[in-house]
Amino acid sequence: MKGIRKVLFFFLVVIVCAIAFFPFYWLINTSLIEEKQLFQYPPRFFPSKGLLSSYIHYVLSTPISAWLRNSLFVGGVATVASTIFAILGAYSISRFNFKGRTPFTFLILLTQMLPAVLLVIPVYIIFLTLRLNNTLAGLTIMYTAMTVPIGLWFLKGFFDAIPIELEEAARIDGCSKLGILLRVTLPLCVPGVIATATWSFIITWDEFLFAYTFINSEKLWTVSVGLSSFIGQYSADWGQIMSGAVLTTLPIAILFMFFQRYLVSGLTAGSVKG
Amino acid sequence: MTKLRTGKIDISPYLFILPSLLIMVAFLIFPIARALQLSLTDTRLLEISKAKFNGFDNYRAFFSDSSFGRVVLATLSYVVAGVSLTYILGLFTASIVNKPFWGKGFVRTILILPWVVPSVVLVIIWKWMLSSRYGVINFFLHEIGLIPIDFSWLSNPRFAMCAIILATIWKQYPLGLLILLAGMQSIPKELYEAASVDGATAFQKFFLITIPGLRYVTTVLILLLTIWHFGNFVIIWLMTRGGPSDITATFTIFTYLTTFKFHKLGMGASIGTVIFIISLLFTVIYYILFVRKLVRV
Repeated sequence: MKGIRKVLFFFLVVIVCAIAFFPFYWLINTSLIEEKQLFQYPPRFFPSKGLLSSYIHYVLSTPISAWLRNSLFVGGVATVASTIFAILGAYSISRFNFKGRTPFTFLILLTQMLPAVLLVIPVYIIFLTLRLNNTLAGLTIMYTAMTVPIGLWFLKGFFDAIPIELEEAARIDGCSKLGILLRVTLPLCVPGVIATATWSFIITWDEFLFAYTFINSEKLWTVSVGLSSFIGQYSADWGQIMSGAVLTTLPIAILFMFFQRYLVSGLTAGSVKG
Repeated sequence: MTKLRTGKIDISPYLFILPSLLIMVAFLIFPIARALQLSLTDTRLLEISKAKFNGFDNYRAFFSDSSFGRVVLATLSYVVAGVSLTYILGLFTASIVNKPFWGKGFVRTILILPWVVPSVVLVIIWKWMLSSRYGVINFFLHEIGLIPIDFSWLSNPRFAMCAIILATIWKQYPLGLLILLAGMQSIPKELYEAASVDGATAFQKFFLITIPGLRYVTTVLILLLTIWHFGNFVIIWLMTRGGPSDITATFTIFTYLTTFKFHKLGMGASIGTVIFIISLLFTVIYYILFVRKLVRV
């Protein structure tokens, strides 16, 4: 009886994984299949020849390298800035008891309820006035602002978990608050910083609405906007689109694989502890 | 800790939050105030300086618009179906990964992976899989005789929303998995052992121990998912742009179309404000009704 159950469970796991993974499989398969073989019945489940031709076409015929560079720049700068801001802010609300702490915490929560589609309207006008529309600088500022609240929330959870006693000795020795944070607490919180930074970067890499609304020049597009420009074209060349999609996903998937553990602990810490 | 020995107020906690506070106020809070103000004007996209104050006209126009009912219906179906299916799938996959078996770590990674796929990539994959005639899903369903091979999901008024929801839950269920799994792991093992001694079946254990043990996590997760679905833009926009004939135009899509396609900035701001107010009210009421009680216990 137990044996049968084990076998059934094994099959269940295999089937669930197969369904969950199938879209990825189909993405990779389509990106490798030769152009002509895409529109066949039945569809081809394995690529046979011309393996990388779609990739070569895609890389040669689109500014994909510029798009990757833009995303990397915007996401990288925004991630570094917002993580530094969040470290300072989260440390403050985790350790100090000051007037304005509760309002500040509420403000963080409030920003999570702001619909992006409402935000994009006034920011569009503000950026027109500041001449920040159609610039990567504007996008970077916006991404920093969008990721700061999440970083604050993440890192507060991590700082809360570190016993305050560890800081006492340094305080008695006359270390400044910033000194304590940088020399004592932060080194213990490296997993939290990694989780926060990874999470922020994933958000910026995924962001579409602001980049799509603010950036008009093709050269300044981010990867997601660049890739989306192929959706809905009549002569949809799915092989090339799929190779673009693989190239867009790869950096973020690798990052995720590396830091999965930290990311998961950061995400669940806040919601389970409440 | 907040006061120095001299008795003066210590400003360092404020200095620490200053950078975050400044950027949040400047680019999140101030814009919302500006949006509220815009929502009371007839601002148009290409002639912003000519805007005139028109009170609550935009709101009145939106609530009496013929498409209002359709927008509410589209939003409700997307949110209700999306949240409940995401939750069920998250619960199902979490209970699989919660069991000890060989290769569990690998299975978990496979199951979480859809979560990091950029939304644009997600839409591209599903649009291709669901495409008429050459889509692989059409191939499978055609082979078992359910649909004609040239069935077109996204231009079918009845099935366009189904396709969008399908793509959405594939991206979102890993979040449910992670949070519910963490919740499951915080349930004391002794409860299950005691139940086994009393001869409880697996089903009984699931419904009498696991589900009640997940109450708090579930409440938080449902709130997170509802706000996320309610505000989601990119998946629906890239799948259908609200079509066919506005049937999948949720509040967010309708806001974007009004603002950037029909150039009615003031009107768009007022619809966006309605989204914001609903999210806020929902969160507050939900918190009072469900979350607060659980935190006290």
